[in-house]
Amino acid sequence: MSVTLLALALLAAVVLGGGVGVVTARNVVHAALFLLLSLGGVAGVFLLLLAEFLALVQVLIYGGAVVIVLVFALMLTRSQDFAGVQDNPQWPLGLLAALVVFGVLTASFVLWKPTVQPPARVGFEEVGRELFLRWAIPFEMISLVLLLTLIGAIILAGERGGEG
Amino acid sequence: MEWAWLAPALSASAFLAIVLFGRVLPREGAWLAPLAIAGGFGVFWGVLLRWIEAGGGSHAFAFTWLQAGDVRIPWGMLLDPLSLVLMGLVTFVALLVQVYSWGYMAREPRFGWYFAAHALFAASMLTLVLADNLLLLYIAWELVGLCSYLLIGFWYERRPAAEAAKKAFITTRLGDVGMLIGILLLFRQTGTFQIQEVFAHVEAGRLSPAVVTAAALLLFTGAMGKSAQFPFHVWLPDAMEGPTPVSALIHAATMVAAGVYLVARMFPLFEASGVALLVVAGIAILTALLAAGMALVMTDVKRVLAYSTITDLALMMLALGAGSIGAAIFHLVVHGFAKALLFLGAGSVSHGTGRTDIRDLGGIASAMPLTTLTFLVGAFSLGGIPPLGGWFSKDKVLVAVGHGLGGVFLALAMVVAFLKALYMGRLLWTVFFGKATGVHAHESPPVMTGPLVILAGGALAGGVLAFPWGEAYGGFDAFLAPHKGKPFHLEVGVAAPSTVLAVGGFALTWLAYHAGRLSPEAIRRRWAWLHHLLARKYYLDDLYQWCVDHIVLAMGQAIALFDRLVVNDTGVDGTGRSVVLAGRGLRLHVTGLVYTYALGIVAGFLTVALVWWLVLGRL
Amino acid sequence: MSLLHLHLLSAALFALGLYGVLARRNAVLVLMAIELMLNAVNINLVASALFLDPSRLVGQVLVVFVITLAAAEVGLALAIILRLYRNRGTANLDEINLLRW
Repeated sequence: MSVTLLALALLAAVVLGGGVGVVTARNVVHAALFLLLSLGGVAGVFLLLLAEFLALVQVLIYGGAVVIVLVFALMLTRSQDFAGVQDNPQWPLGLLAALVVFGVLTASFVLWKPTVQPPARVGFEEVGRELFLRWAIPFEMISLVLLLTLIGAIILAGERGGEG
Repeated sequence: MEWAWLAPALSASAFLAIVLFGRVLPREGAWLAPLAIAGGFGVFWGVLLRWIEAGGGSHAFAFTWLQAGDVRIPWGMLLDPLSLVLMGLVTFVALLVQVYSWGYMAREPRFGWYFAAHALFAASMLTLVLADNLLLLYIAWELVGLCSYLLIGFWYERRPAAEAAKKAFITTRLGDVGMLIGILLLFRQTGTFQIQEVFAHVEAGRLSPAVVTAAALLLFTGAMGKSAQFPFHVWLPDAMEGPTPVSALIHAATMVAAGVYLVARMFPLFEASGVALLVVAGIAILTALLAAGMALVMTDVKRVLAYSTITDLALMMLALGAGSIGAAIFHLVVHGFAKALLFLGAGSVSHGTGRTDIRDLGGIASAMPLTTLTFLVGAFSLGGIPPLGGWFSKDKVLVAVGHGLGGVFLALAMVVAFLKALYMGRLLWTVFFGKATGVHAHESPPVMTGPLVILAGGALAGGVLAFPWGEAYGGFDAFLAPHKGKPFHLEVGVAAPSTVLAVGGFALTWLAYHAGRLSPEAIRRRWAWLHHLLARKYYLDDLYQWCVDHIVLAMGQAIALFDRLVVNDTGVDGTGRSVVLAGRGLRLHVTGLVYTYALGIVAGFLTVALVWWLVLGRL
Repeated sequence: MSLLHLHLLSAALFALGLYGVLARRNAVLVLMAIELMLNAVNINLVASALFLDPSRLVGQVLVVFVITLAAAEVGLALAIILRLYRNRGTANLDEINLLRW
């Protein structure tokens, strides 16, 4: 078994383990920490897939921003006051649905046999050039979306904003 | 001559005017009706004179009313001797009756409505006799039936009156259904409603004998209904619940004559089928015997007259069955005068004494001389005493029966003639002469006795019409059928026995009821079973009631049950309820919880994926 | 390491996230599960770019966009959750069912 495969197996364990923790933890803060773990694992996978820029972005944004915001939300909604089982009554159905979806996806991936090419690394410059040249317009639009989302979030979450 | 349509139009306008504007007119506008019918009478004279000037014959006037493809339905008039005779009779008698009603109904509430219905009746009846096509005739036929219903049930607050009106309408309706089928059958076979054209088809032999007979018999069922022939006769005696002038006009002189008119008008059709005429004659003689018997035991004046009317109508039908339109129509005219007279006289009696039961009345001749005299004229006329008009008409009928139908029918007709004299005599002697029963009586006002006198003149002198006068008028028969009719001539073999029977009948009853020589009580006891049968009207009413109760109403209940259970509960309510239930069930999926909706999305996605994979083969 | 392995990882993570979305009670936890799903998608995209795309770039660019949008969405969603908490006093999805039958 090659090194990469071993590394992948380890990272997969981390990612999936963290994922399991997120969806089953009883303590909400533990769930947030598990998420952080999982996302870190994903960054590792990105590294393994020779996408360094993305690994960087993943850590920065997910680890540095998203999880923080999530923890803030947990605190502001006093979620830790509601201790105990965090599952809602339809969890068996959810489990079933998830398993079925997993089955469908796996089946489709297994049955699809594309021609693969050997992996190769792309550097930061290529990614940057691609991003700012060919994908310039979507990039700008994404910025606009961010802006609008921010404004919306401020209004919604403000003292008297968003009423009515 | 085309102005003949004014006669029904005037009365129709009077009807509308009274109904619409009666509230603002003095006396509810009732006077519009007699005015209109007087106008109609004038129109009749004008039309008659013009017709004579034009040399007689048959004239038709029409304009197209509806047209659908090849089918034209015109509104038209046929002016020939038959329609003219009827037109004159209807306008004249209606006028007299309306004048009489002015006095008789003077203190009635709904005075205006009474005359409005009279006007509508006059308009419909005139349309009926003038109609040149069967569809128009049928429409007028139904309208006349409606007026009869309205007028019989004029005092609808009284239960018997309301029931009688219903009975009349339903019974005649049964006949009318047959008539409509007959009309439609003829239309189907000939493509036209025009009476003259139908005759052309018949004469050209384009209709099969079965069709001709069927059509004739079907039309006859309508005539049976209107003219109260067995088994449709049951409504006429009950119709006496209506005001007496109504009985005089509608149920003696005119409406019930419509059936006779119909057969006379469609005579070529009947002639072409020997079976039909025989059926007509058979039913007629049966009706006459039944009715004359029942007239003998009735105790209400108007009821006796009602059964007498049925008998006379049967005699008219008998004459038609024997093949003589002249005899039938002549009797129709004389009877019209005489019976109207008798009814109005009965009304005068009830107006003066407040009674109508012959057991309560007696010896009122001295108190009501004019009524008595005119009633006597009418009774003798219809009883067949010469030389009154009724003797002539009865004789014509008997002669025709003898020639056309043979000995058996003639013998039976003689029996009927005898019975007629019997019941007329009984009525006459007990009510006006005989022992006074102490009931208070006073003569009626001139507005009522005037028409009585005029009608008596007609009943008295009607016989003159049977004879030829000058070149232009060759006798009644010749008037009706210019080339086929014969003037009146006496056949002693028929006239003598009938006269003897008539005189004998009156004499017998005089002996029994006035002179006290014969005892009606003893006779009644001896023939108790017969008396009972007659008094119960041969149990026909009971039979009909049983049929209605156990067949019609039972069917109605079954259908009502079906309607309630299947149509209403299951169909209508069930549909509503199932929708509500479905709604109540379906709404449960809206839980308000987002995670259930998320599950729904996933389920939807999986379904689509499965469909894609399995059905479309994509992955 | 083959494409199939990565696809399987991606599918598993996605299924985990899906379970979380369907089965968790707290709204914030649901949001975390959504993040897991998005990450699964990202893994898939990068793997496909590496093994299937000659330029090996489009996938990565798309991942940038996905991450950006995910961040934006988290912010907005949390604003909504805060509003919800202020109105109803709870972030538990069980207790938010006013729009029921």
